[in-house]
Amino acid sequence: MELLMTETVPPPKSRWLDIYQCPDCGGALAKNPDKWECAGCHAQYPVRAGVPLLNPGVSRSPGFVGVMKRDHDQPDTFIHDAEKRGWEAALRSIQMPGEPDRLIEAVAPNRISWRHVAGLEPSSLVIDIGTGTGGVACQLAAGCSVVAVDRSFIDAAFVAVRASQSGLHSLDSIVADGSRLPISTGVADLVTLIGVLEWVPTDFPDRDPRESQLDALREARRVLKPTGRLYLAIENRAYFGYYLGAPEPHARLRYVSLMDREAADRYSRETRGQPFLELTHSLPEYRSLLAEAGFQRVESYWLYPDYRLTHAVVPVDEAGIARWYTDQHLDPRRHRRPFEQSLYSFFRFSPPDFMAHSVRDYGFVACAASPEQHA
Amino acid sequence: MLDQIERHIRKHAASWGVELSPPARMRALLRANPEHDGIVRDISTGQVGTLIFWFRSEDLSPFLVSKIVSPSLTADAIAECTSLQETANRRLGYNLFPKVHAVAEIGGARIIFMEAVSGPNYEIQLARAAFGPERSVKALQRVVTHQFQELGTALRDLQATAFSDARVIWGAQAAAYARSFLELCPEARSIVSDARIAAMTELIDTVALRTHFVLTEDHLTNYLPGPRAVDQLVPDIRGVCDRWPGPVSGLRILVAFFRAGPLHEAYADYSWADALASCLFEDSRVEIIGAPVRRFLDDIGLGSASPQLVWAFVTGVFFIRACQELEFHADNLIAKRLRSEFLEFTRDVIRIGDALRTSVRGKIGGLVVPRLHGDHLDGEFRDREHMDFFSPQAQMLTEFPGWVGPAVRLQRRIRERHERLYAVTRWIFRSLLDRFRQPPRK
Repeated sequence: MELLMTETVPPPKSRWLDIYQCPDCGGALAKNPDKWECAGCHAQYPVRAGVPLLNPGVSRSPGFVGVMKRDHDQPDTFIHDAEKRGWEAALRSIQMPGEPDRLIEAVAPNRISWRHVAGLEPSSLVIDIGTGTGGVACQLAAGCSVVAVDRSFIDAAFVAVRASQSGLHSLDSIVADGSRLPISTGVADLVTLIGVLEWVPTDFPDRDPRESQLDALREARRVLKPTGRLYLAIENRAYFGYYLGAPEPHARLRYVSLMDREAADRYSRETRGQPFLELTHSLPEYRSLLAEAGFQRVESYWLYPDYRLTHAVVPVDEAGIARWYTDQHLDPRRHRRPFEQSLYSFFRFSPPDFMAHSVRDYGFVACAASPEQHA
Repeated sequence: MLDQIERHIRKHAASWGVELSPPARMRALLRANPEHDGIVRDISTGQVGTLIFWFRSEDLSPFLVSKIVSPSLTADAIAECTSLQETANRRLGYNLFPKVHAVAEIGGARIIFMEAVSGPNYEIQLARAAFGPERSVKALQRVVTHQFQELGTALRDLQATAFSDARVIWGAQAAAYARSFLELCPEARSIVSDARIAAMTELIDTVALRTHFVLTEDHLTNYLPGPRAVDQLVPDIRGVCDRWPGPVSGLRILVAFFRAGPLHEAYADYSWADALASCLFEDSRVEIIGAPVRRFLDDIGLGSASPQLVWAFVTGVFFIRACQELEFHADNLIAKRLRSEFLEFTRDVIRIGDALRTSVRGKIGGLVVPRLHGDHLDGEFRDREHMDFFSPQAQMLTEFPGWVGPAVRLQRRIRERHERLYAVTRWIFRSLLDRFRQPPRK
């Protein structure tokens, strides 16, 4: 889709990381201010508003604005607004009543409270796939090099503006597809997939959703160094709240994630007129998915209260630790309504193993290779 | 970073007296500060960093806590805090403050290694007693009594750690905080006149207070249980202890309980200042929280002071709290809302001060006496009026076993033997009961 940008182009970024390759053929890219060109297949990738568009052919609305998945009518106006009035003011201007606070989600330190389990070093290179408004990428860029990847132009351009205004020179923002990253093999120390993997199958409606997710994970593993790690944060299919009637957050349908996949798909087609592609899994299913994608030493965590603003990163490989956490720290004031009180009671009083499999959001830290493979 | 911290622990555990056999697998639970959700620009809060609870694989509770602090807390400051804590612990004869094993620079961050203490912290205990499925008036009373007793004892004991016999006249400092507050919130100038500040100062200056090692941290959102909720790692600890004498430190905790903790929400329809004033000065009508609060006042040495003097101190402490919150959040998203909140609080505090001017304790005129929020406490008050044997509260409100029916006796037996089963049963019972109840009486 052709993007209709007005002349709001910021000065071209002077120094890009030397890790990019052609997403089609893997050839080296010549980085010109207005376009990047592949030395191998001579494919050209335009640069708009200082952001290279390295996913040609992906037909996605240009006005797709991170986090809440709501289209913005005039992406050029939005980016222009961000440049002129500052990115915070621009983000405020698209805040809708009843939505989680976009600005807080974009800047709160608890967006990256998980970083200590991911083994980050000051010299680390992080690839943040599905960067949204840069809540994770921009905060991590204060301490290491970050490539913010999004398939939406407006998100990537917004993050570029934000990084430029915040003086974050170690952040590159690109438009690319997470399943076909324009990044060389074995360069990254950490790849983050936060609230992204479940959406991957929606780009490939004709494929098996699980296969699409596996491909995205394999692609993430490809760009990781042997010592690199993946941080995956995602909802639990078997969340106890779904049994109590909480709607599945992606399809917004009750009980859908608890159904057999085929039944869920039929139910989704009948109720909302589209297939059920936003696949989430249970704890053992995630572990086997990561193992199938080639990851080693998977560590599983319960992210409380959720993966957006995480207050606690609780290991669930030993269920007793999660029990200790709920005994010590679970605050009933977060669970006021009768439905939530049932959840609270469940987490306080259910057997530890059962609880570890029924939490809402999981985080996984998976190594690209085992220590023997490093050697 | 966790790998590096783990290696450090394995290397030094023996010298800290922490038992850790080499093959033991260690797991880490990370806890971030929930307040960081709302903080936009100033993320270096210093005192409350990221906590890491360390578990040995076979254990069900942590054996060590490490805390990643911001660079604003220097190694010298930590050393001074630790030394003062150790002195206080030694003088008290027991460990009021958790033991700090070591401080290390790891991966560019400053890490403190501390003793792990189990049990929910004050805020969680209070929240569960007032809002959890296990909530009840009796539970709330029990928790509040226990907490204030524990804090009162700690503060009383800390008086033994006095730096010197010198006494402080605190009025000038309270007035300085009042003026700082007026600079941060100029709208309050119409409420807090110079004459009012002078009157407060004059009252406070009638007593001289001893300085000693105080509990500096008034946030309830800390992570350790009991009075050890305070880890006391404050950059200018000695200055703080000099500036805020013992009773002032106690009142800061009291104001925090009513201003920011679950008690504030339990009195949802009322100002926290009204709730605090009625607990402090109304002898007859608010025994659930009032009695422990008044005992706490005795413990911190203001038990025999006049209501006017106590409220003058509370007003001074309120100005400290206001200055701290407004300064801390000056550049944050919530700054504007916070200023208007504090404007309202100022009105309440001054109004109560005026009402107390001509009163004596126990016979207060013009005070609002708030009731605990009936909805939150799930009909406990209603049950007092319409109690039957099937009411789960009956077994707590009826004193003698012979007076209760078989259903209540069964409940008691279950509770004694199976506490969790009892809590779940009670919650289910209450949920069913609520379906048939009338709406709460306001």
